[in-house]
Amino acid sequence: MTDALRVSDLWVDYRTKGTWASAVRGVDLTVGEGEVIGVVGESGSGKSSLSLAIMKLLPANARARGRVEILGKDVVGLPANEAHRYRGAGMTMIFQEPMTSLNPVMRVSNQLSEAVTSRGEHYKLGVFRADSIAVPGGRDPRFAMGSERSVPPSKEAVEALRQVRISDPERTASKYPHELSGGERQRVMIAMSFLLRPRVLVADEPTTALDVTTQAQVLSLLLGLSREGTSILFVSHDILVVGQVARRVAVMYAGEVVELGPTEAVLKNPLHPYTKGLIGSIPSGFKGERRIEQIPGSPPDILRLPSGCRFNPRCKFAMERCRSEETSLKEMEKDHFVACHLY
Amino acid sequence: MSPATSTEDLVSAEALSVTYKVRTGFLGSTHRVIKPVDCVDLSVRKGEVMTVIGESGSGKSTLGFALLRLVKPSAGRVLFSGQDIGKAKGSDLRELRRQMQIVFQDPYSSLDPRLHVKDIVSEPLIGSGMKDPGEIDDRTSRAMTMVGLDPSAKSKYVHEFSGGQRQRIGIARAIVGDPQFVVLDEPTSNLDVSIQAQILNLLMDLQSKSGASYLFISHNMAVSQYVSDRVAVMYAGEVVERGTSEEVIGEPMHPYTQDLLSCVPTMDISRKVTDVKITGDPPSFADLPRGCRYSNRCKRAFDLCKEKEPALAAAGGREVACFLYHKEERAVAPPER
Amino acid sequence: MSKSSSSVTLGIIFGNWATLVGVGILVVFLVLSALAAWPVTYHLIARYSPDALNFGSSNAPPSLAHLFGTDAEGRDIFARVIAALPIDIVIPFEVVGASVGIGFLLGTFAGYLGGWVEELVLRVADLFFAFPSVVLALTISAILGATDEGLRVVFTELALIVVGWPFYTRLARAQVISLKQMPFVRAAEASGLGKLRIIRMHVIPHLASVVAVYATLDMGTTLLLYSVFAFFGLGVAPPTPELGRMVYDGLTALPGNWWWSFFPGLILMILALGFSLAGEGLRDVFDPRLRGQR
Repeated sequence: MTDALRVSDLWVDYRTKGTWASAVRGVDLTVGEGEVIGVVGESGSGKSSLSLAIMKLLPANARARGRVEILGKDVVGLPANEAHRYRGAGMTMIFQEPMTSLNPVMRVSNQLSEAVTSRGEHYKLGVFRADSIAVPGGRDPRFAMGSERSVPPSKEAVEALRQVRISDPERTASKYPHELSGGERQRVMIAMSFLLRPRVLVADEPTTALDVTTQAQVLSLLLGLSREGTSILFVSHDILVVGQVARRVAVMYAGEVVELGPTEAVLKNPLHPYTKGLIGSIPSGFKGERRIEQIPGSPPDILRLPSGCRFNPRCKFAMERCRSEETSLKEMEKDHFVACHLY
Repeated sequence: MSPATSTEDLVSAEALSVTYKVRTGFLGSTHRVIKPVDCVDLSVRKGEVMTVIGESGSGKSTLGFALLRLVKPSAGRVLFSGQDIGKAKGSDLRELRRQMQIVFQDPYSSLDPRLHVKDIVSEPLIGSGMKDPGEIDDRTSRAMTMVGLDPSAKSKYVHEFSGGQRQRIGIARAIVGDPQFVVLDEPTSNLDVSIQAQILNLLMDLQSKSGASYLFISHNMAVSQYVSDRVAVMYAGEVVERGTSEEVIGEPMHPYTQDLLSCVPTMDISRKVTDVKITGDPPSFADLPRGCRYSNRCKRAFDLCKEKEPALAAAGGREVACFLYHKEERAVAPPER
Repeated sequence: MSKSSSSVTLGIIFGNWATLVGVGILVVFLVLSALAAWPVTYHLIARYSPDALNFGSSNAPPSLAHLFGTDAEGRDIFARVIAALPIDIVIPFEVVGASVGIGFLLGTFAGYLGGWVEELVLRVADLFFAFPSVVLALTISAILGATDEGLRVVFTELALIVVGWPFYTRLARAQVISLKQMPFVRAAEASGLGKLRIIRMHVIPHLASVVAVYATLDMGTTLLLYSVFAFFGLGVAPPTPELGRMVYDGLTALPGNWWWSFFPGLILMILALGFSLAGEGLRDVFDPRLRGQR
């Protein structure tokens, strides 16, 4: 299986108070074609910086070091004016709040049509193989502002909305983003991904702002996308949500991957004390049945990382060695890696 | 149920409705009335944790606000120990305010960034008319200690604290006056999982120590199950199912509660929420379906459900508003004022 | 771990050259106008009296003797600019100060109390908001027909205040309405604090920062507007020096004796720029996103 996305020794640094502080510290990850990988972490774990670095969407005060290969091509060193070619049909991102990724003054149908056009351009540019998808021909679906009102939604746009189970796709297509509910907006974003058929999709907390009933629908849509060959990096703070879609899961803490393995193995047999604590702190059972575990303290500030294992001040198993010696990922079982001195 | 729970009601809402006018049309020329809380009966017993479960837009937060007289009901009334809180004035109202407190969801916007921690925490004491600076200071320090904050931090500003610590400040403010009733409006949903665990355990400890009644508002099933004695499930402004946590979450009867629970991811990853055949989103208050408000998404809906609204009535040891279990119809809501 | 509020403020002022320039301009001009208001220091700076006629050196271009040149009557333009500073600096403070005071008070109560109080305040504000300020000032001056210069200055200021306060009323009301929805205000209500106390503790401090930013930006505009009035012959009358008036008087001499209008105009522009840069800086100082960071 070829890797659609290969991240090797990726560092993301932010410039603060005249120094560089690293939010992502030497992350290695691969996502195979059509595979869904989960990245789990709390706020400050570096999971969002990781997704932005992959998309080359880091803010101006940040820099990425290392390699991010999309279909074998490194994008880290790519100049900004070329990076846009890789977004769209190459890679797409879904954010927690879809309102910010939709154009507020453009009807849904036109935004979807624009996705179709940009897909066509990507294949014309020869950036990606156009084996499975035909380049749409016919009329130019990009409309001038003046004709916003009159043009009926394109068939493709309506079809894409139907695919994401929007109840009245024709009516929804002619609406503006602010007229949609949060769940509908997120589904429009996914409909756009269906049209673009990106090779790599980075989904950063795509269901966090949604209700559970809507979340279930969105998760199933994302799985549908992966079955069509899109590789998905699913970033979330919720390990149970990740467990629903991801084949493998990476647990991040203070910018590092501390555990990586098949989802079932990580959930049922967590190795790293942080993963154990994370799973133990999920509420379960009725009132008074059992007390949930809690990890003491809070995640470290990236400007003041503890030496040795970054988790040692909060770890109940911490030994002398943990305070001085840094950890690295070791394979404990097949495909199940952990970065901890206990093993 | 925990032994401290009695069957006596501390707070009860009777046929409580809240309506809002929403301006629409050109320059707000027309307006329509929406009803985020529609004729709700709800009681919180002494010493219990009652949870209102609902998705966004179910009206659960508005209900919580109305119970505290933070929004004015359009119909119905709220009783606190038998006293109508809508009629309280002057020193009676101040005493009520001391007895009823709230913890908000967002630990950022719920704390005034321009105040010192001590001024935030002591606010309910000042509000209830306490004047003695020494006593205010003592009680503020005690409340901070109870929530796990160092009282020496009381002259700091809130921006010096993390999200979890800020939520502790919000909780300290709520408990400083020893209230009998606390509304917790999604107190952990903006927090990381590991911090959520700390806050939930803290809240449960405080509740069992003080014997106060908590009304927990949540969209999270696992959290609701973990904290509640009883739960009420809200959908589109109405309570659709109500009973003990074991009954409602353990063996849900209303199709909405069942669907809601089946959509919650659990440790059992072989049970896929992605296989759940639920469609659509909760309706907006401006555009409610005819009949039962869940009928347009319900897999088990039949003709009657699309014509008449079911009433909340006893079934299977709890109360359910669903024609699958009884044919009782909802009384026509009182006319708008 | 965290800095005190004042050091954050200083950090923002000195961390941004534009703010530094703005604050610098204002400080220099405030000091200059303070000195200009006192005869002894005035003569140290200006060297000439603003009204001293000297036909021997009339129409002189800028030189070391006359930095900004002289006018047809031989009056030193630099001296006249310095003499104009006190009035040109004080007027924006008076006008904006009064507008803010009225607007802040009415807007806060309108927003917090709502109901008919709000409706009434807003309608009256709209009435005045819709009035063009120059026309209003001309009307007021015409109706009152003051020949006394002191009164004329007051009337033009009054005209600016009359058209100025509705903006602050609307601003304060909008802010209060959004503040009212903030959970911390709700929490204060749940704690039983009275309305006045909530306004004092939670509403006014937030409002003050926003209003201060707009007010500072507005001072530059007011300064220019006042000069426009002088340009139309309102407010101060010759021979009292005023920058806008001097620009107007100099126009007749363009392009030959360009220094008559150029230097007063330049000083006006620098002053307005100072207010506007300082206002932008204030916005950063009060921005909670910058504050909240450790």
